[in-house]
Amino acid sequence: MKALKLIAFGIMMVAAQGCYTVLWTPDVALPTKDQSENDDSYYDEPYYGDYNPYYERPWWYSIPPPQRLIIPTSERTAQEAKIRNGNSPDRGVPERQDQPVINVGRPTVDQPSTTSPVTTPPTTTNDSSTKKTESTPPQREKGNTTNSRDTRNNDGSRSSDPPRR
Amino acid sequence: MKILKVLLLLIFILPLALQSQTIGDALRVTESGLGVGARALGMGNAYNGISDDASAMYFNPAGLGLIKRLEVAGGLDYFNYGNNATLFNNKTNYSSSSTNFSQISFVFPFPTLQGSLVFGMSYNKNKDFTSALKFDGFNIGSNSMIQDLEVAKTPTDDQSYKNSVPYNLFLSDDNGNVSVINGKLNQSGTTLQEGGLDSWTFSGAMEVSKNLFVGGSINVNSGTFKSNREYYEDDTKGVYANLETAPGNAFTTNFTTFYRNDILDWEISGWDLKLGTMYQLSKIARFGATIQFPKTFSIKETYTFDAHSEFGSSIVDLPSDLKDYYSDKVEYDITTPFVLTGAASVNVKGLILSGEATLTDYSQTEFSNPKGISTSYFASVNKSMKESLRAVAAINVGLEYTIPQVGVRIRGGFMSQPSPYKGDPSDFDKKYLTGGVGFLADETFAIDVAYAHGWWKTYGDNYGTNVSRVDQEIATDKMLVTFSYRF
Repeated sequence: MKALKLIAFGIMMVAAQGCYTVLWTPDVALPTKDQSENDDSYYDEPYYGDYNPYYERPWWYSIPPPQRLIIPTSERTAQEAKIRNGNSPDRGVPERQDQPVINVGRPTVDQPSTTSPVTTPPTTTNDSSTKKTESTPPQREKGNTTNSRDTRNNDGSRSSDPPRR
Repeated sequence: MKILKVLLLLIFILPLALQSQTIGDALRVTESGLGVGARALGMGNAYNGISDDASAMYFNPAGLGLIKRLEVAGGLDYFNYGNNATLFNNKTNYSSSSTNFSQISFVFPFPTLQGSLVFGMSYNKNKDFTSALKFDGFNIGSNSMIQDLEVAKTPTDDQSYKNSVPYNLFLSDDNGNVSVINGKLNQSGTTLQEGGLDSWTFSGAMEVSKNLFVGGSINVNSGTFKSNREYYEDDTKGVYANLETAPGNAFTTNFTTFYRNDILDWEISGWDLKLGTMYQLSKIARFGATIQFPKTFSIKETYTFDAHSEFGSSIVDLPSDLKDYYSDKVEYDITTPFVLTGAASVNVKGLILSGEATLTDYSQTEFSNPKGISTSYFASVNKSMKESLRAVAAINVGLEYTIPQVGVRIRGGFMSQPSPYKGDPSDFDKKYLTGGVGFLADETFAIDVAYAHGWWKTYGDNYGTNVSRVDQEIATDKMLVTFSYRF
């Protein structure tokens, strides 16, 4: 009983001081290595080699931050849109699965015969913008295309590629 | 009426006299095992002050807060128990081994902007009950198990002796007196024990202040234990060849063997809580402390007894109703004491030195909640534990050196667990020398291998006190391999 009181006291002390730990929430970007303030690495690289990242590098550092590229939509052509939305071989399924898919809310077209020859990747079947881009000329509304681009550019497989524009 | 009360009391006590709950039973679940992590074991389990992998859930849950990557870990261990037993100057070696999954764990650190919040879940094999004993020696004394089991007719009780083992095996006279057999028998036997304690552990840890972590583990425990003991007393020198062990029964003139078999089966369940804290002092050191709250193990025990005697070509079995009489199913709880640990590790240019001390007051161990056992019997065993056991401080020390160029770590350690019995000399303390090596591939996949050699002395009495004592020199070997992958 005495021990339980002691624990309760400890918890109260911590609660009273406020918690040091601040959790990440989806409305902010994941913290990166550059933003890290903790330099108390117990496994310094010179002495521990690869054990340093094994112990010290948070797993969320490997998730690339979203790239907010401003791409002038007026210069885009229908052909570029097809390429971007197509099933290019370097955009494999695994990388894309981790990325959020934002439905840009474009109107649905239920006519398969109008679909472009470019095959839609299986993992993006819930992205109606992908399907429909090929069915109609790329007359994008500004707000929607911005969201759509952010989503696609968030793809981990492309994070190291130089921006196209 | 008085006779009836005495009879009832004796009927109740007799089975207990054959195989009752002992201090050894309580210590079986109270004394700690050899841990679950190969890195820890390689460092002599001096790990409460390091605890930065999945095995933190077992050692110091606060250490989980140091984990920054998703981790999946698993382990496999091999354990061998060797026993060099001496009975009346005759040595006998015996051993038994087991192979088990030691650990399957998953650790999930929440993404944080500052500090850490980490949760984990693990299956741990906390303790291995595997043991073995074989003994064989001639007792020149005038005592024996047969005599120890004697229940003689008395003026106030003229019935109990009819349920006694010697009477039913024709080893006593018609009044239950073991009047002919008077020691000078060869005594031999084996005891094999197996099983272990497992737990499902759910842990969490948080950084509550910069570099200060707190954590807790809830363990849902289960386990099994099985002991099979066979004991023989043989008239190897023909001392009773021409005597009737049950006078008036001619076929008992050529007594050769008395045999008994005790099988003990446990189903173990329970839960417990462990809290820990850890402070990391810059890059130099870590300090850890844990409180293991008392564990309550609920034991469902099944005890099976059998015996027979041999006379020349005749074998007399214990009647089946008496086998049932002596066999029983009971339930009870064993509550272990608080366990407090203080630990520290120091980090100097790739070399980590670690040490810890663990305080356990074994005299606080208790039996409780008996079902099918008298409360007064448990009171007497608990009193006996208070008087026979003591508080001890176990010591663990270890070191690890990393060779960064090749991603290899080498380890060594030592641990000492003093005997919980008062008055035991230091060679009754359990001592272990450990070593290990670790490899890392691609910054993600780690393999750790550990080996621990343990040795200590103990003894056991077949009956009575120091009249048929088996001195034992124990040597154990444990090999543990742990795989872990960090995403």
